[in-house]
Amino acid sequence: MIGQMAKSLRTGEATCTQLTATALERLAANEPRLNAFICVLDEPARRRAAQLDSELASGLDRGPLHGIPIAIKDLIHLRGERTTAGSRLFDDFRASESAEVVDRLESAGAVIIGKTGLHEIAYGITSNNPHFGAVRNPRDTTRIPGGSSGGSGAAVAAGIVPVALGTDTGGSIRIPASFCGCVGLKPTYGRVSKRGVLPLGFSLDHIGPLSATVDDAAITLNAIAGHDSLDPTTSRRPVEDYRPGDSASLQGVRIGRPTTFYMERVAPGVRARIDAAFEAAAQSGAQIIPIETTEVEEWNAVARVVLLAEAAAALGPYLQYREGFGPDVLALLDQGRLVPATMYIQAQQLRTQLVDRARTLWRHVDCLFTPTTPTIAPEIGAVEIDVGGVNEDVRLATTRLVRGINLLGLPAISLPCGDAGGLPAGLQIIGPPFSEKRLLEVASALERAIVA
Amino acid sequence: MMVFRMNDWKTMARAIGIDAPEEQLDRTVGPLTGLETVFRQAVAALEPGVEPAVIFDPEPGESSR
Repeated sequence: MIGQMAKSLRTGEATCTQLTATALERLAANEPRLNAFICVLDEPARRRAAQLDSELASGLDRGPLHGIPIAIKDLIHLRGERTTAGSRLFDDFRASESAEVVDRLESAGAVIIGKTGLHEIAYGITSNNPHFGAVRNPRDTTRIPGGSSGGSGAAVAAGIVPVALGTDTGGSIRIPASFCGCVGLKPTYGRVSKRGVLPLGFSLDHIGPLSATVDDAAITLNAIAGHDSLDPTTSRRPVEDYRPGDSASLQGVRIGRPTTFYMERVAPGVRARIDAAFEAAAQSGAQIIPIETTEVEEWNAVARVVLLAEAAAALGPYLQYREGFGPDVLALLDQGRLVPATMYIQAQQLRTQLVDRARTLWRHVDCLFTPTTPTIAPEIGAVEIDVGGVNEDVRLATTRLVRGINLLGLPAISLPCGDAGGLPAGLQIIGPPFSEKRLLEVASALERAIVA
Repeated sequence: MMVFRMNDWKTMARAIGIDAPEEQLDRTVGPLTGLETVFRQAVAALEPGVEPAVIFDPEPGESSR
């Protein structure tokens, strides 16, 4: 989508001003029905678009994001604007500096038209926010969009913007991508700077795009990836050109098909879409290799301990205002206060072992295919959900297939793989550390195969 | 390896001053029991001397990560 928009700007079929105006019109047509935005930057976006038109006219071309309207999750700082984090506790907070990812996107020419809604402080998967109201799924407004980056998923799925930034601590990019039917990319831990983004789980937080297409995700990653001297968690590994190109192929790619955990307790309709994705990959020349993933339950348990403790530490200073939190988030923060320091350190020791053992996976396969979520989007307000005939807690069920990947810091993409019962299902593609280019090539080739 | 058992999460919650009604407290501590069961089994197999994944950096800004 960005590729077509970029082309239209350079052939004179459109201007940056027109693209931004169209995005703002679509936003107005969808709001407040979707409740996807906390803040709309109408005037600043139009001004910026006009500047970018002048630049293009004078021969300054910033690349494929030049003049492209985007949105960012309202957990990410934008200079001079509020960052609410979906909480009333931050009502008066205005960022004095933009996040590093925002600076990089603006340098690349993106036009930020608004800040998207989220689950309160990004700590949950429904985006049913007690302070700002429920964000709604564009495919069915009685359903959640997923979370915590629910507004970003809804904004992309509704066609308002081709890309919106999200954050992912336990699935918060991939879950809304799966439920809304868009692409969601969680890069390797350290590939993208977190500076200027409110933390939830210091060692689990990731920033990445939700987008209309795989190529859009790659274009965005090209802009935001790379070392940040002021964020010590970022990697010095060189970045690549992540755009997959038309020649991306599945020929000879070794795709792991988990025989345990990931394909258990999955709704039949979702399972059928995942089976179809494997079939499409095999027909496109991929080698499908059965593989045992025996430690996912441990990955999840350790990730939960780490997150409970880190989130309680990050939000601890605000816990004196207990009435300022919704009940589900307050319960999680209280759970975190109960986790002893010894348990947190043991969790980080276990993490060392689990990361080490997970490396052996990549001797046999280039990537893994799994469902992103075991079900389609649940109804707003649902506490439990039927997963193949068994009732499960919505939060635990929805994070079950994605959370462990944050513990390992691995890159993962959620790719739409068709509808199950009239709503989107997501395929999760997981790879070894810093394999974003390969993952995006696989996702791009599969995107074409599924559409075909 | 020392394995910590925290069976009575509710008493602990009260001890650190979480002042919530009984029903809310049950909802708060309930998930910890199941989590602890899986976690305790994992810790029992933890090899001694494994470095935690969060590493102290004595020279921030000079990391070769």
